[in-house]
Amino acid sequence: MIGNDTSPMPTAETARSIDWLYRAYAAALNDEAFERWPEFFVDDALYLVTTRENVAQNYPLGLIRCEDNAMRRDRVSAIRDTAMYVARPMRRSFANIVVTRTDGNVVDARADFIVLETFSREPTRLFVAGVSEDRIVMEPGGALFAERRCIIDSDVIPTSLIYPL
Amino acid sequence: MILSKEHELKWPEAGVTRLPGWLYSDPSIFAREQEHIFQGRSWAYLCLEEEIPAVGDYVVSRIGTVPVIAVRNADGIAALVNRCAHRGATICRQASGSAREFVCPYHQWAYGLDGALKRVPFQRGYNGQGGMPESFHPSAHGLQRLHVETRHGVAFASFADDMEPLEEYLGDAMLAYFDRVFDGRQLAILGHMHQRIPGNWKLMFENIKDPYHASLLHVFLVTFGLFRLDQESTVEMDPTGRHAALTSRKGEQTVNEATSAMRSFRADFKLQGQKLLDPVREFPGNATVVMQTIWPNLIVQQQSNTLAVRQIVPLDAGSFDLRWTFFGYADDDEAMRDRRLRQANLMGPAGFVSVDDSEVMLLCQQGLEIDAERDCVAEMGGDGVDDALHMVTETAIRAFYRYYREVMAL
Repeated sequence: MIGNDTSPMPTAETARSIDWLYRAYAAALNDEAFERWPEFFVDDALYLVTTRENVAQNYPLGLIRCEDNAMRRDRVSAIRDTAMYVARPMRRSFANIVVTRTDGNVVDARADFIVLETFSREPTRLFVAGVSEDRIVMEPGGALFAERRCIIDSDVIPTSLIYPL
Repeated sequence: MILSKEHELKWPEAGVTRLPGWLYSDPSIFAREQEHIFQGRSWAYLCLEEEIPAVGDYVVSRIGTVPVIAVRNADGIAALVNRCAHRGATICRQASGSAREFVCPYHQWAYGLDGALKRVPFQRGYNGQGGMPESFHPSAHGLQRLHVETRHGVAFASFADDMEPLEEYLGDAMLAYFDRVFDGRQLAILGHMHQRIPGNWKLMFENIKDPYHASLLHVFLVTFGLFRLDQESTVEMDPTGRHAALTSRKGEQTVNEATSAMRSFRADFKLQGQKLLDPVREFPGNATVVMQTIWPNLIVQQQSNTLAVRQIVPLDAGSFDLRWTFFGYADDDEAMRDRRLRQANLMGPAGFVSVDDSEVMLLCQQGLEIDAERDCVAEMGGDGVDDALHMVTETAIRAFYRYYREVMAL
């Protein structure tokens, strides 16, 4: 992880905390431990999945919009219990994590993501790629997302978006 | 796609209570649909006017498989096929933007915002040599231009030269439902969702014309009484059966004779984020949900306070794109705007309700492609095509296919 042109290089401790957050987040979701998903956020953190097209036009809509952990837990209930879907393991990979701004214990960061999905009896395929623009707070127990906006490059989602990115 | 054997395109004797498998997989049927339906006598949804508010603003829409530039010029909205008259290149390479003219990248033929050919470089040649012959008239080589009609902020286009006015096309009953949401107030676009579904495009219309499935497939609709067959409901159509509106009035999360027969009803399921469902009544009448299907490519969604147009874009016999444009009104206060944005969680490719539908269409297509000669059944509520005051019916699907057979000469 590096700082970008407008931001000083984060301290080694900050860098390690942020790196840990992305790694632990991806590992938990890739293992389908969705019950742990809200644990990576402060309670009232906004989680939004949208597209470059919407961002470019300043449209506020999200494909998923969770305004707090209660709404994140409802998403988990849907995956576990209420939604009808064809299960397909999804693998998230985060790269190019860059700190764009630091203000006390609050850090803004961005990271590219690539997500693969695998249907049973089918070869793995690319699901989506994009960038997340995140706000991270350094809490005594570790780093947590205070906001996470996943911006998908393509405006077209292959079939359905079942699991969080 | 699997076409395991030769099959005859002959509709089953039983009529529209039986739907043959080849409807969903045969490439010749798909080609005929483009000609007879999307490029035939229909008013196809083009865009919302609010997407292109200023002169020069454009979006590239799609009617059937044909890309169409919807552009605002001094006279209103023009619909221009995105294909240079010279060598056929795609003219407009961006999905949306603002332009003073459209210039083909290949030989820089330039078209005005009305589609007229304005400039052909070296039309008179160079140094007295070459160029176009005198007989070449630029006025005869504009972009192909479709007819356009708008109503209350929604633009429709047609390839046909002999279309009746849009209002007549919709008919009185469907026009009233259309005007219920598009009541003349200025719209405010909230954003788009867009998904590619590996299913035939007609499955999308069948889904929204089928109130029977909603009480069984959708835990969310059933549990929270958003659309359930023990509620006051209607299925209405225009006289041709090509358009329909399904309406319902919100019910409660209570165990009764109906809900106890629904495996998807969960008496004890509670949302933790209560803000998702705090609907506010904003339209006249008792209905809290109206889902309208407008031939040949439009769904108008009003579920609680989430409003959207869904444009159906067929890609081939086995797949289509569904493009959602969510909107509110320019005079919405912040609370209403936020409510609409939260309720959008119900819809789209990640929607608590809509995921069930996109996934089930995937499953339908897989099954339908097994055998083009095997028929499906659409007999709930009998074999009629009349309006209904309940949800235990597939009447709107039958009415759709009765009209479809006429148009397709099947």
